[in-house]
Amino acid sequence: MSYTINVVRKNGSGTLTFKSGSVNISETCWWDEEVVIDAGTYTGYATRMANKTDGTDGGNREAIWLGLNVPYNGDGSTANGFFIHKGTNAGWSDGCIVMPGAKVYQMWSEITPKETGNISVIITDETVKRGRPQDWDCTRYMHSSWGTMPLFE
Amino acid sequence: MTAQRVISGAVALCLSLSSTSAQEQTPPPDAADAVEMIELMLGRSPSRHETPLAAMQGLGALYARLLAGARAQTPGDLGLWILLGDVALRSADAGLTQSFTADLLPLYRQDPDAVLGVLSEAPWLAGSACHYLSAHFGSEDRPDENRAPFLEAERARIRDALPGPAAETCLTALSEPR
Repeated sequence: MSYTINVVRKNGSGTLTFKSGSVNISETCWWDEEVVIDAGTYTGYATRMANKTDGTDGGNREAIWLGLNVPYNGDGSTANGFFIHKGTNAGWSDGCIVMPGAKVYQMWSEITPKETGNISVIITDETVKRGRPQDWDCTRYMHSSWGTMPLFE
Repeated sequence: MTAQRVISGAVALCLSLSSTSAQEQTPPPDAADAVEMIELMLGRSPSRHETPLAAMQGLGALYARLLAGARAQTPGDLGLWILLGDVALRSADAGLTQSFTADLLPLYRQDPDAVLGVLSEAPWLAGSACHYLSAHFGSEDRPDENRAPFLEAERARIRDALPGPAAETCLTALSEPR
């Protein structure tokens, strides 16, 4: 069984969506804006964070690990420790994607088997398109120097 | 395998060159742990783990072993744990840095002189260690209001324990919210 997690980022927060069986999640998520994973598709593993003991089920924190050598900040840097895990704001992140713990647990519980690279995590940045770009204003200098531009008819 | 032997040899050489009395009393790190840390510093996947997932989990286990040793005051483990924290910060290992942010301050409160002793012997670790002390406040919903009292309570101790530039680096980190 394979799974897909979509993360669409906007300014400062984004939306994580996941559908499988009866589970249908669309939830706000956050990240540390100083360490931003590059947009792309990554192989995810449902696992637990080794040194966080605050899991929803009483075990270690449930998480989706994004694998080794994940690029970030768009400068060629890569890192190995990015997860999707619980959190209520960007203060829970050093680069991970965080969202409310109940939703992480719901998603994590649906994914089987655990500890397997059976998840495609697709991270995209929302771009705003408002038609074609404005033409260069060749009259701007004339406006500022001469005041009102005469009409040409 | 040859590369691993070379790194092991380099570790042994470095350890044999230590000369201060404090270092003479500190046992050498576990050779396999030391090799893993060097490989991490070089941006390599640790060779003792066969899969990427095992490498991630093995690093988590190394963190846990060293932290347990540091809490139990096992000689040498606190310094190795703080060194691992520096590597984690430099390599932006978010999972590990979040753990250091949570765990270093309680350890400092337990035995500040031990932590400052490590930073005194290796002042270049002050930047990352004090980053973690500072980041504790305000992260994961911990209150930021406790930062200023902590800084005021520890300012003199830090200045007494660390060389001047390292002390100022540490105090600057502690004064800056995340």
